[in-house]
Amino acid sequence: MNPTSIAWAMICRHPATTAIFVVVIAIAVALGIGISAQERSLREGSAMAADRFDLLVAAPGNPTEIVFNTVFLRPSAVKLLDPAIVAQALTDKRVEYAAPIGFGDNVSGLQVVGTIPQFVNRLSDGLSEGRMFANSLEAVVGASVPFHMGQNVVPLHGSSAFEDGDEAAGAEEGHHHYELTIVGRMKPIGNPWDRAVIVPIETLWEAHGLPNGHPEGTVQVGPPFDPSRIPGLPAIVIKARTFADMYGLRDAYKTPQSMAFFPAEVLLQLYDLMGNIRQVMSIMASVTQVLAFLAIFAGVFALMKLFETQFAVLRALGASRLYVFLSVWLFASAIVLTGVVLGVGVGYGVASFASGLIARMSGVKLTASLGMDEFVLAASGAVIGVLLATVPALLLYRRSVAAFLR
Amino acid sequence: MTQERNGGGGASLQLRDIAVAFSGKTILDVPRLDVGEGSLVALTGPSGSGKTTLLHVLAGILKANQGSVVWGDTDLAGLRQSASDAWRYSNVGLVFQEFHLIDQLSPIHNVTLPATFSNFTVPDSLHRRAVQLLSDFGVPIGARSVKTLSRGERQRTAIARALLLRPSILLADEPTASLDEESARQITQTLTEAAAGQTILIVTHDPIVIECCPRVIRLERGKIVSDTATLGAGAPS
Repeated sequence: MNPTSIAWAMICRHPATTAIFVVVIAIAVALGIGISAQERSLREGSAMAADRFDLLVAAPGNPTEIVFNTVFLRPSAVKLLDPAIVAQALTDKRVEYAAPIGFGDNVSGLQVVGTIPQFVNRLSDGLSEGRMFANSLEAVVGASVPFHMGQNVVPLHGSSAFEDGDEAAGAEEGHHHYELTIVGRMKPIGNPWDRAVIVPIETLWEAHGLPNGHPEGTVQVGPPFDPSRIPGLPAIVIKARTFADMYGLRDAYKTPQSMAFFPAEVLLQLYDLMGNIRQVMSIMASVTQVLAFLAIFAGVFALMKLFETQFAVLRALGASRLYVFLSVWLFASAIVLTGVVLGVGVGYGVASFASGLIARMSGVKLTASLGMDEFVLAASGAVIGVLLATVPALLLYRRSVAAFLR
Repeated sequence: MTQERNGGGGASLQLRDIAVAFSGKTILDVPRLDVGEGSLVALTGPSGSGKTTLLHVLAGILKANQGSVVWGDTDLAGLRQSASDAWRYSNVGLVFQEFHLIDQLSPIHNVTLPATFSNFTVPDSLHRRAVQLLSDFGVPIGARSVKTLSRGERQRTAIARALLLRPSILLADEPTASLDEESARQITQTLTEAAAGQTILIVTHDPIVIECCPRVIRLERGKIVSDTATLGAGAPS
């Protein structure tokens, strides 16, 4: 028994209607796949971006804001960490390194971030080009920064991100009287630091008229710092010597003057929120999918009315009921399966496009991929659709032959 | 034109006390009808006289409310639906007034369609037979779709489809009704020559067909009112 030619003839007889059915199912499936793939892409991308920011210490406030400040380089006006706490953290014996993070300037709209060489190495696992900055007039750039080695650039006061949303900060923008020479380039790390100009923290402190963390007159980059000459900071990234120290440090800097947290804690809260949103959207997508299937099968059933005589003829010619059932089921299943496959492709395409767009806007490397969740979603859609396809097939299967031949 | 003959010849028919009623109204009442193997019979009569209903009963498409329809050794009244389908598939070729071909398929695919009812692929022997039938009937084999054929060619394709599996019984319902006179003559000739030896019953109003049939049965209001032997051109020599 081979009813494929009949199913194919049905498709060819109403190509436009069949195409519309396929597109409706594809859109419904793509919605679910796109939401699921995009949410995972955001989760994985943000987790990867924050991977090397072990422990953050900042002034009491909103940890999410600090993560956005330091990891995603979306600076906002945050309270500075008390210099005494900064000094304590930078000289703490339990830390392998404590990296001060400072902002405030930009070069051609690119963030200038102040930190220490150890943290740049930690982020980038060595440089792809050039060498590490060795004095306060040298800079290392992120992988995506279009400056070449040896290029001299003049920073402006004001963070680029402030320009978008903080008019007060933007109004303060102006030239500094220092020039940076680009001496090195980081490897791509898939976060907004790829688009930053990284300078010694001392550069920013000096540019803003603050003590540079070292005894007056000393030209030095990075630790050790002089506790008496350390200004306040937006945040410090700490890497502990041991795993146990990490938790000890977190507890130690949870004080009335400071907060300490792992970025993962903040991200987990965000994922939880994203998960809830995803759940709601997935339910909506599933409902849309079921409604689309029902609409399609109502349409298929209406279409079957046009085929009643044809099937009556087939039965008269000796085709079994099973043959008729399989013809209709194949036709409806072909619509479902084509729609599902197309939907998976479209959903993946939309998620990839959205990831690319978000990556371009945020600098966070996002890669949309299809995982088990998406395949389960598509497979369940296909199974439901193929099962629902039996309904019009069964209805036609039971029709009287003679009635439609008269 | 090649004379395709059924290997086992036609089948005899014994029909007894058949009655078919719809909504309490009797539309067919045939106490007795016998047709010998290899006969060519025209069923004629005015519209609504029960000709098509009788044809459907004979094909096992419609179950009579009472009576028996015995083709050879098989009583259709005793068959379940699936057995009736299987019997029809093996023994009956059907030709319709409106051809009922699948427009989206080529002539050859239309003719070989019945082979797909029981096979996944069309056996070579049946494919060759389909090509031979179409070639004999003058139907362009290379046509991509039967939609491009003339009405006469389409009906000849339908006849080829009916003859593909060498049925012992050929039932045709107004096969020339929608054709011009020339096409009607060709179709009648095709039917009577290609299916010679098979038992053929043709529902028709068409004098061209009637004059070819050695036996003409006339129905009126569901009853046989005359059963006449003629000197039809298709009469067995």
